[in-house]
Amino acid sequence: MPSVHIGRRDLLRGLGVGAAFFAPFARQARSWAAGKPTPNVFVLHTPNGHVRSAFGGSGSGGGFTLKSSLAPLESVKAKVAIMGDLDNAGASSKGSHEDIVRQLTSVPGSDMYRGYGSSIDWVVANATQTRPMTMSSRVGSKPDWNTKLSWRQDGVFEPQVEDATAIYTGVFGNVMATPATPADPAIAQRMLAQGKSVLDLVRVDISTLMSRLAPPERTKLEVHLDSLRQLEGALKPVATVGTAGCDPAPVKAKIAAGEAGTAGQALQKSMEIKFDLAATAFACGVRRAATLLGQPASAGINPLGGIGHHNLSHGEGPVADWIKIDVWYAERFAYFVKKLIDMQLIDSTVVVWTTEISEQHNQRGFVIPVAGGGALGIQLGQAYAARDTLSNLWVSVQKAIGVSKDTFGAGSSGGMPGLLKPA
Amino acid sequence: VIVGAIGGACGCTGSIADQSGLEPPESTRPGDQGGTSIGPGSSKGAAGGAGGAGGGPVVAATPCASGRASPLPLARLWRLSPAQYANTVKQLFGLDVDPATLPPDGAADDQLTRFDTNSTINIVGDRLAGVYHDTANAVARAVVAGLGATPYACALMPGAADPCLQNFVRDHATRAYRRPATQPEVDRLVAYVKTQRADSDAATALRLTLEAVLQSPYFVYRTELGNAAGARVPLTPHELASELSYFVADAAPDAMLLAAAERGELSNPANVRMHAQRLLATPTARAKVRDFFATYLGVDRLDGKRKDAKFTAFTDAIKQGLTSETMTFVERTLFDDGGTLQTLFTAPHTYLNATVAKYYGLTASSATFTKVPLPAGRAGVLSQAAVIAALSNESTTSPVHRGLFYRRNMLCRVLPPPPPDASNMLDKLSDPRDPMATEREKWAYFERTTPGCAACHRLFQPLGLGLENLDPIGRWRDTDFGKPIDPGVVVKDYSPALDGSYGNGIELASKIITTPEAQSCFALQYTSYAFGRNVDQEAEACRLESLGKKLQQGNLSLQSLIVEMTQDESFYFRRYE
Repeated sequence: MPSVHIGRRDLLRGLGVGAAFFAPFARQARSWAAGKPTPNVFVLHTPNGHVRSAFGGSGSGGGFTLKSSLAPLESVKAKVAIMGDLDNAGASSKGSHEDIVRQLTSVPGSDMYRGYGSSIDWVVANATQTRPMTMSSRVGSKPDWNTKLSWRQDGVFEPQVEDATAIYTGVFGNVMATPATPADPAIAQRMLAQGKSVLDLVRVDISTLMSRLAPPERTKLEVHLDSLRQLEGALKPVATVGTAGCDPAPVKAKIAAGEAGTAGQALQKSMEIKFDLAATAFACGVRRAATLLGQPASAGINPLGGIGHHNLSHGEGPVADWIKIDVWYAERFAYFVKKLIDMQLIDSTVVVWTTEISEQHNQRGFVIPVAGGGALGIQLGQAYAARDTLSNLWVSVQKAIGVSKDTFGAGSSGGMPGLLKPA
Repeated sequence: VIVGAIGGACGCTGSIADQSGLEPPESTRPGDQGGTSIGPGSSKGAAGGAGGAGGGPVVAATPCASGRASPLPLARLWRLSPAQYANTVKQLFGLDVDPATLPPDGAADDQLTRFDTNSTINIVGDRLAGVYHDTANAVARAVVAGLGATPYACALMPGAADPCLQNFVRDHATRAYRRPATQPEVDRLVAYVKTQRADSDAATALRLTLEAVLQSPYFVYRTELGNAAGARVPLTPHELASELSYFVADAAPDAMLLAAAERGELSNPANVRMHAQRLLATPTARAKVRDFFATYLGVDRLDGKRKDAKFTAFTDAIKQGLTSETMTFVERTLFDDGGTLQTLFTAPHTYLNATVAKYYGLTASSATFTKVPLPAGRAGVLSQAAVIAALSNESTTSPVHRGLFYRRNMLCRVLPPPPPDASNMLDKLSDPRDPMATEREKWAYFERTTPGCAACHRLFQPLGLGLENLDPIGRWRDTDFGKPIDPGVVVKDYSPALDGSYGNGIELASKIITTPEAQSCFALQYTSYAFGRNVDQEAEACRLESLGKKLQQGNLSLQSLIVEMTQDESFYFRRYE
């Protein structure tokens, strides 16, 4: 028996999904609401809150102004809106960093580290019959509570993936490097059938075992079956790659270039690669929802060096240093907005920038920048000063993508007034 | 010296004062009488270990002073951990799979423990399903490539006969499922081989079949279901074999264990004890204990732990070195030096290489980790820089986190949830007019100005002050902002066993670990890790008390505790809700 080492490099080279079968590159075939483009939703999460005195906006139209921390968005502010005063109605009693687990669910519950419902990225993904991309940047350790942002359902969180190559392979396979589709269609069809037949055998075993189980053990196998359905979708024959903007090659090259540099430089490169991955996946129609954990809740990294971000949020350093970090992250947010503009995706993509605590270290008074989605009905170029709830923002987002539902988590009441154009 | 009234009433607000959970369950208090759980064993057990509800091994319920029997664990599926998956593939095929290719699961949602082995969170999500698929493909290709030199070479023949195919399928499925493959399973897989062989070739058909076996839930999960639903269902002999082998060594049952299961010998706890002792001598058993302590001590998070830029010595390389120090110390102490849990907290030595020794200001000549005596003031894991750095903030020490280690990790005492908007109190933690305040002075200010919150923080924060001689990266210091450090701790109104004065946090830890409460707590921690489940501290008080006593009777030997855990009825039976 040969003894071989099967490691990360081997797997990412495309054994299995990437090479033995076909790249998961089938375009989303579902037609969307008449007159509206197929929607995308992206959530950027950065830690430790913002300094409100410099982070926000006011006015509308020609009078729409951004505070100093958001200056990097000045050139694209026509594509931006600012939610000025949102509360998280799903907050825990502590109301601190741990509530990262409820930022995208807004569902309350007694366990500190549990999301209690599906997060907005999964709602969008389910509505668009896709899977969310769950990404992180420069986290570097095992997932802990402070990375639990994306929830498939109550109690089932989806880990954020840091490895850009793994994300790329999961989304695009190796199609651009070594076309996996055999030239002979008959061979291609046979390989597809083989892949499906293996999964069919696995499904028989799962069904047999499932019949012996009651919840919650049964739920494990239901999730497993759902994952196999997703895997089977990745075995579909490669569709034509020719749509404008659908070109994975640039981001593949960027991944290959690496993320070397200081902590701040590496974080910037890592975030930009993840932004590019999401934009390309949206352009290709293989993903419609994505989250990027810029850093975990309460993380200390200061991309500019000096006193840690978390420490600054606790007042253990100059406020000016905290503001500089806000500006730094705003530059990253602006990068993505400009990327979407360049790729002509901005009007079909809603981008929301969340954080797990407000400046007062609680779950009240969040300032949330939103960008894009104009063609989906999002009214941009203005600030929304009225006090509202985070869940109402998520109601508006789900309505923008075509989910006609007036509730999301706790504290919602039909959506944020005025954020969406009347139907 | 600060008085740490860690047993006092807690009331961050009036509404949550005296909440349950602050005191240990009655039955875990010192002085309670426990009992053993094992009845007279028999070579076959009441139902030979394979029967339905009502039969099974002869293992009595755990008696204890409170008289309340601990509930049995629930019947369940438990997905293999990354280490278990890799070890199992290695055992089956001699192939190395890097566990790092398998996405980690993250921490469970329990206040006392945060082990990523918890079966409630171990699902097969999209990414893991893809990795399983890719790995199965790679493994199957390698196996089939080498098949010609094995007794299964006949299966590669284009017209291989049924007996040959059945042998191939039955043997591989049986080993992968860790139980005999059923005839319907064998028939289905043989039929599949033939179908695929007709469409392609024999090698491809065998490869695809192995891919299916390696993605089957019977390979990916372990079952703890028994043969029938009920309130007291014995595990099947093969479920017991898997439970034992993965519990001790994170590995699939070996030939001896499977043979014992076939003979029905595992219904006798004495036989299980013998196999547990045997498995403890395997390398993967050591790896498992290291993995437990990495999480229990928090050093598994050190890699992602960032420190203020002023700590230039705290490089990635030194973080790795410090982690190796702690892991080497744990393994050598518990497996090679005859050490105990008490030794872990009191040893006057550690294991260093030259690089890490230099970090401490010590000398070691070897490139490998060798035993080095510690200077006065340091002893055991709570003076090791990896542990201390993990229990510190970026730029400051953290009496809060260090104190919580005593309270949660060593004593398993939970805290009530913080009051609403507790975070709004953060600016009360220290006097803004005194940026040069020591941690002890900060605590005094906090206790004086925010008595509501301090009522809870009194339960743990003063304990953490006993480790103030160790800075945020674990280096020794005699002063804080130029002021001499007082590491003394006084515990009162807590328990007769613990109340008293301690010179520092090391002394406190060395005392805590000798108490019955801490021993029951350690049993809870290891149960939570190695059995992968949340432990209901109150409902399972009898079981924890019994295991704690056995730990004490075994002179705090972890290996002894591991063996004793296999003798409890919870090892042999499950219940259905």
